[in-house]
Amino acid sequence: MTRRLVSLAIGVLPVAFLCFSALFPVLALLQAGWSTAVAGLLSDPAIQWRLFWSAAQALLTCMVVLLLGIPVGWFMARHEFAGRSMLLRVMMLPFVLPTLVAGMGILALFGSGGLAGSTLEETPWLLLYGNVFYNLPLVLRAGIEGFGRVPETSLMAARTLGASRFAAFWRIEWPLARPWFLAALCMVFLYCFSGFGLALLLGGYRYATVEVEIYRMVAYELNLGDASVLAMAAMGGALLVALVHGRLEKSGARPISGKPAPRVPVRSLAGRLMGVGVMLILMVFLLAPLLAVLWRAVASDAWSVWLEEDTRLALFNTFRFTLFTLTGVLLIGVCHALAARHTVLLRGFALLPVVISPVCVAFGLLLLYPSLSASLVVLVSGYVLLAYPFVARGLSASLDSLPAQLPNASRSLGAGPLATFYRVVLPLVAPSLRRGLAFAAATAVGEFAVTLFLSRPEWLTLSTLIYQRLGRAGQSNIAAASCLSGGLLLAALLAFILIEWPDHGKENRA
Amino acid sequence: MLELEGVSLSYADKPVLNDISLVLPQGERLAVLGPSGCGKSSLLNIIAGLVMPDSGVLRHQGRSLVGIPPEQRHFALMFQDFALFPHLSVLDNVTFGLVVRGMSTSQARKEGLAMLASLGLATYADNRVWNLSGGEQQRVALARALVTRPALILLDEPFSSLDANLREGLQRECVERFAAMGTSMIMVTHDRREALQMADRIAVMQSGRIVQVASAAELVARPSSAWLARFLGWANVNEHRAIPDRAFILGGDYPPASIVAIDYDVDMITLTLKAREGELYRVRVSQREWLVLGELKESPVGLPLGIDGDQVIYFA
Repeated sequence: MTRRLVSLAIGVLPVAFLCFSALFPVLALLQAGWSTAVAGLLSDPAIQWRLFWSAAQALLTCMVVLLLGIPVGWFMARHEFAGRSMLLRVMMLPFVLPTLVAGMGILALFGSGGLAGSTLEETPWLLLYGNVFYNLPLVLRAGIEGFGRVPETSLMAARTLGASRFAAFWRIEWPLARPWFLAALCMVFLYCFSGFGLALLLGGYRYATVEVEIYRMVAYELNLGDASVLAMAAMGGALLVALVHGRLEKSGARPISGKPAPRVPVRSLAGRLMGVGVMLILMVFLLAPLLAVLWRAVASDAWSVWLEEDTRLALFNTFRFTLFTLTGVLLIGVCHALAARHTVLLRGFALLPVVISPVCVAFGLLLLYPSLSASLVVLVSGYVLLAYPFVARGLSASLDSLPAQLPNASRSLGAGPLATFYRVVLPLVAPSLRRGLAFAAATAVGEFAVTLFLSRPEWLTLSTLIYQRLGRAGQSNIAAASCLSGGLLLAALLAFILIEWPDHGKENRA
Repeated sequence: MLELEGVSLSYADKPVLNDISLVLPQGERLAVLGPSGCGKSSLLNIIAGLVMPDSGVLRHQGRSLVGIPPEQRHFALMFQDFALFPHLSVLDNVTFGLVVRGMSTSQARKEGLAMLASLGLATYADNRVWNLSGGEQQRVALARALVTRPALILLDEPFSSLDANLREGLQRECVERFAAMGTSMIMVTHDRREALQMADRIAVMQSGRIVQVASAAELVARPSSAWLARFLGWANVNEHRAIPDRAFILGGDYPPASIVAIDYDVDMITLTLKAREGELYRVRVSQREWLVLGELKESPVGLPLGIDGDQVIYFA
């Protein structure tokens, strides 16, 4: 009983925060949208196109990443080769990479004056390429996991019962891995549908998404009513997909037991050819934009940009906001994870920020707290809302996997509750905490949507500075933006190294 | 008839199978008995075509199996974890082997239902496989294997995850079915009882080699080594090095003598002995007699008796 009370008390903080920064703003959006002429707005062909294209580009991305993800995921799940674990790590990079950096990388390849020679600007391809860059790793991780769990004996049984290699893949491996793919595709759809930064940078005018339209309406037309209707539509769509995702997870959950099929070295010619294909796909869709950013940054010859007043302000702000965010994330994330141990409902709340896009969060905050709009509290809460689930979910998972006997053993050996926490629990959950904080830091450093939405000149950050520079005419500004992107990429790499740093004693625990 | 000749396999330079030769007449049930890690599952996978041997020849009905993929060998494999496909219903699991070989869905359905009915599983046809108990799952796996009418059924520790009562029922059922269909069987197991119960012949494997192939009765009566005797469950196995002129047989009516040679039959053992005086003579002892060995004076050692190199083995 006291345990429950304590966890409720701990839960008050995250719940209050979620209400302040997510629930109430969304309600404010709903209210604002309600009183607007919905029918008139939705019959506007420009808006219809925007909604259609948002869904269509998300769907197209899903199809592309599925088509690429199945063979690559299968290959990586079934084969052992030199550099495999390195490749798996590199696949984490897009998760910490600021949208703007990726966008710059893609522009460096296919923008005007890009490395590829011909520009794809004002075509849908740039945005799709960016979407694939960000979402292919998501699908690949799911696919490797899904294919990797197919029991060895299921495959052996299928083969001896008369199935050819392909029939065994089509009738056994693919159906067993499918739930993983579908769950990942739902997330891909969500991210693409409510994508903002990439669409703003790469979509041009015609191929931008609903979120960009919302931003335009608010920032340039001050048309809050119509914007909130669109935000509602976007959130409605996202919620729908999130529900489908939940349903899929439930129905797709069939117990798969048995030793997974082992990974084998690549031996046959067909295997080698497939390996080359896999490397090419990963090269084109994963590494090329990153290398392009680096190349542009090195070749930009605009290093003096780091000494400019604006840059110093942006660096200071980025550093400051990240620090504030991490403090908030640590506080709310840890409370959330501790409270969620005994409250299932709170676990679901950790998914809230996935459904509500950054743009909607920022817009809702702006609507609800107009008097606070100049206050750092609002900005930082937006940051924290986007970043804290990384800590909360990771910590929840590692607390779940912590055997109950360990704290009990510690207590029976004479350690008090505090000593037990400090000497046993904390060291065991520290790696996931560190990883969650690194993700949160990467989110804060690269944050773009909320900052732009609530933008005030004195809140200039690195990412908004890059965006500003891109918006100004002249080659020197592009060079400066490239150079700054390179810096941001290095910051992301730092977060990445923190995330992937090997845990001490991990082997012993496994 | 299945023939294996000189089959060898190694993983990363570690030998797994060493020069295995076996002959299995059609309709015979063979158990490959051995402790875990002795290579018996690899042997089964080689026969199934899932693993290619480094060297050696496999023939089935006189036809070489080299390069024949598993789906064309028409051997069915059954597993310890049943390996039912979790995304398919019971009936779809059973008809899998028919459908992938090109049978029409309706015909496959008919045959699958008939097979399920004959195993008393008809009411489960539309169930999800993970709702079934272990015994039911293995019966579905049996139905799935039998419905394709395989020439040979390969069983990989098929009953070891079932409880004892269930195991015996299913073992009997399998033996009856295989006999009725004239299907050959190769079962690998570490459970000597299972091997003795189900097989016509038993091949014992130890670290990648076949150490003895014999009928059940023969194997029990004359294990070829102390290791095997222990593996077969003899509780008290004494090993003694029979050094000519040193080991003496005492007791009984025999004068002290050293063993020169041992020959044995099913229930009689002939010892060639050399008495102190230098005279050679032969003694025949039945299994019921007692021998007392020189150094083991205090603990009488019983028969049967085996020989392994220069080791003499006494079983009490």
